[in-house]
Amino acid sequence: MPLLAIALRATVTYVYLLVLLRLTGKRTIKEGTPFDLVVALVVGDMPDDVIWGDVPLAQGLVAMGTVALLHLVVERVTYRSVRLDRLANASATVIVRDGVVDRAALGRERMNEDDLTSSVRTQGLKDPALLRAARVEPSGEVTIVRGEAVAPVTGSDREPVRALAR
Amino acid sequence: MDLGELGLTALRASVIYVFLLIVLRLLGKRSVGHATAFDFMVALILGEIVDEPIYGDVPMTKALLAIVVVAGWHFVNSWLSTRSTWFDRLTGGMPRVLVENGVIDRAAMSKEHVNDDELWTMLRRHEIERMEEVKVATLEPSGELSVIKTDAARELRKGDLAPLLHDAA
Repeated sequence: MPLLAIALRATVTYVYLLVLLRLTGKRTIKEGTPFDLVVALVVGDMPDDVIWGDVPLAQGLVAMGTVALLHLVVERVTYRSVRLDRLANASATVIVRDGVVDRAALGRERMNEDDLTSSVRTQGLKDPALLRAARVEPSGEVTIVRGEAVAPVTGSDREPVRALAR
Repeated sequence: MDLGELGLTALRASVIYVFLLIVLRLLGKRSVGHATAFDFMVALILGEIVDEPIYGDVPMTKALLAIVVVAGWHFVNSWLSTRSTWFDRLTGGMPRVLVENGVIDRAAMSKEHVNDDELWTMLRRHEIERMEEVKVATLEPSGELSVIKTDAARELRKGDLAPLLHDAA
């Protein structure tokens, strides 16, 4: 019964992938590295051939398991060694320090000033000069730390606020 | 390739599109949209399943069945996760505190395979450059790091105004 076989193979693949993902400890793709995404795409491309029966179930499970296991080993190794992690995943690059844009660093990340200004704008600020720091993270996103003039008033500012109220 | 086959391809693509739309609506926005790694995998699997039937390499009945089975298990999975904390933790992981009062919990970091570089990236998303600013940082099942800042580092809120005015008076 080919329909039953399809349902069975789809079920086995579903449960198998759920177990694999739990083993790798990956919680999200969104905040992972670009390589996590590529690995997910590679593994995600495998189940359909298994479900249609173009590839024997055992072979599919071995293929998915091997890629996931390799990724797990790389994760383990890069967790133990910061140097290997930087080799495999790149580290954060500082592109703004105390309001000054580091053009060389920007160039290394293949960004121009418009890209920087644009991502600063999406975080609600007009100009990189207002930042204490900005970095390109290994995930590719830009994180910022606001400078004194645009930083929020925090608990450590209670005294000046009290003085203001007096 | 004759026109009839092209028309059939368009028809099959349309049937699959509408069917997937219905299935995803039934699954609900949190099941494929809330971006855990496995939700993402399920979205990938569904996306990969449908190309063969669209090209006519696999009959439509088989395709619809495969979609229903994968989506069905995902539905059961999310349903059980909302009913049973035990099952949710088994399949989705549980929140784990990585930093408390500015001190990194090395054992927790190791269990989650999070190294210092990754922790700092997650902290910088909360505009934190100094560990002392962290009261509690928790790795949530969604993969996000939630951060409660210390009193000195957190923003003042409307609720802080009355005590401040009281002090000043």
